[in-house]
Amino acid sequence: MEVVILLLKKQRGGDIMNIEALLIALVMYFAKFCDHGLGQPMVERPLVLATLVGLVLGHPTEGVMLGATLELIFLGTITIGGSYPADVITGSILASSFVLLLGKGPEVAVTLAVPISMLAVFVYNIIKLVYTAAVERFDIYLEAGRDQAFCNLQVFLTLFKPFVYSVLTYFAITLGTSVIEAVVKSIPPVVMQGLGATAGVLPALGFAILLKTLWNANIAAFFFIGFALVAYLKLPIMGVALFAGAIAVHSCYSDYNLKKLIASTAGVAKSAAPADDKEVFFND
Amino acid sequence: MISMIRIDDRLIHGQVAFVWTKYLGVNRIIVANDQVVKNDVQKMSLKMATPDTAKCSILSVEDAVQVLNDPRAESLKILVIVNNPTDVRRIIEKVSNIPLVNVANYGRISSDLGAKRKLCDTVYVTDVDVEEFNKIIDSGMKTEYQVVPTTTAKPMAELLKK
Repeated sequence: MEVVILLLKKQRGGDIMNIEALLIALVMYFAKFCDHGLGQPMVERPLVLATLVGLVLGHPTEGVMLGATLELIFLGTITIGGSYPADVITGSILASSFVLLLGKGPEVAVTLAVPISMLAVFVYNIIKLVYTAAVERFDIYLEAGRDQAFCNLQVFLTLFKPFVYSVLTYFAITLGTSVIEAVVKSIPPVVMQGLGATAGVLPALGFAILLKTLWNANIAAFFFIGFALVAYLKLPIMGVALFAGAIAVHSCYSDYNLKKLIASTAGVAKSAAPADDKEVFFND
Repeated sequence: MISMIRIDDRLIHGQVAFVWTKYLGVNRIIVANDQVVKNDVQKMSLKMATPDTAKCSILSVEDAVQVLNDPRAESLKILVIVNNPTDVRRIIEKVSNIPLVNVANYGRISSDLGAKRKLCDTVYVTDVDVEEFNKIIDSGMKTEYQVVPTTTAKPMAELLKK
């Protein structure tokens, strides 16, 4: 990818920003398509997206690091149904692009990602108007028995949404980078230090939001084990990740075996008498 | 004990399974609906959408009333989900200890959106619906519009005035 950029740079002189913006727009298309087209396969998380942005801009290592930083903040931000708290995808792609293009640090990425992700929700709301209006069109097609038209509209809408975001991304990068640079430059060093400190605290907030939905007594132990590993045993994060991975695999297998066991014993009883919801409501 | 009755077009989905069940700490979910109870595919998919921490029963409105009035229901924490205000009215007429009606997503899954009045992003009503909502509110029931616990709850009466 770097070679491609260099080649194009030679041919087109200073026009490099356009190519970079195009590549970032492509990443945006991929992310938005995966998110709604493939049903949230978690490819659209900051960790993956910032890495991809890093790859296309020729800074893969910095991309991964930015991704990890952004992931911590957005860890608890999960889109559930119609409630859309923040556009994590747009926030992480644009923030990591600006930071890599301008050669700034992760604290700037955090500062940019949060407001961008919140602003981007407005874009979603506008697109939603179009998509809600399409429902009536779908109904018309169904009533007329036009199956093919129905399918075509479905495919078109699936491909159209990421396209809107890609176009916006392209312009955000080509027109916005100098603006962002000016804004970042105009922030006095004292404020920048403050933002750096805030960037350090935000992951804790991300964790807190995540724990609000995930916290239960079963997994609480692992939270404290993780804390102790880092705070007292001074284990590097890679070591903690290895422990966590091993535990996750182990509990997956034991859950799987347990489910198999339950299915083999309970299956007999179930097939004998189909469960009536009213009868079993008070049973444990 | 009943935590609340919720009106939701999609009955059990992410907002219910992920957020409300955890937030309310319920261990039972009743889907009260006279059509769904006859539809095995819908019943199966609703049960698949139920989180492990709660048990889901899909009942006709009449059966739901019977179960809710059973003294044994006192020791359980129950979330009741319906998909229209008429079923709410039918339930609250016969079940006394309901603290809250939660209106979330209503009226969007239908082919006559154009003929409906939009109260807010997720609630579209017909004249019949408004009448039913007014009956619910007039009975003294606390009726609030709130999609997820992190958004602010608005009194339903206020939305209807618009």
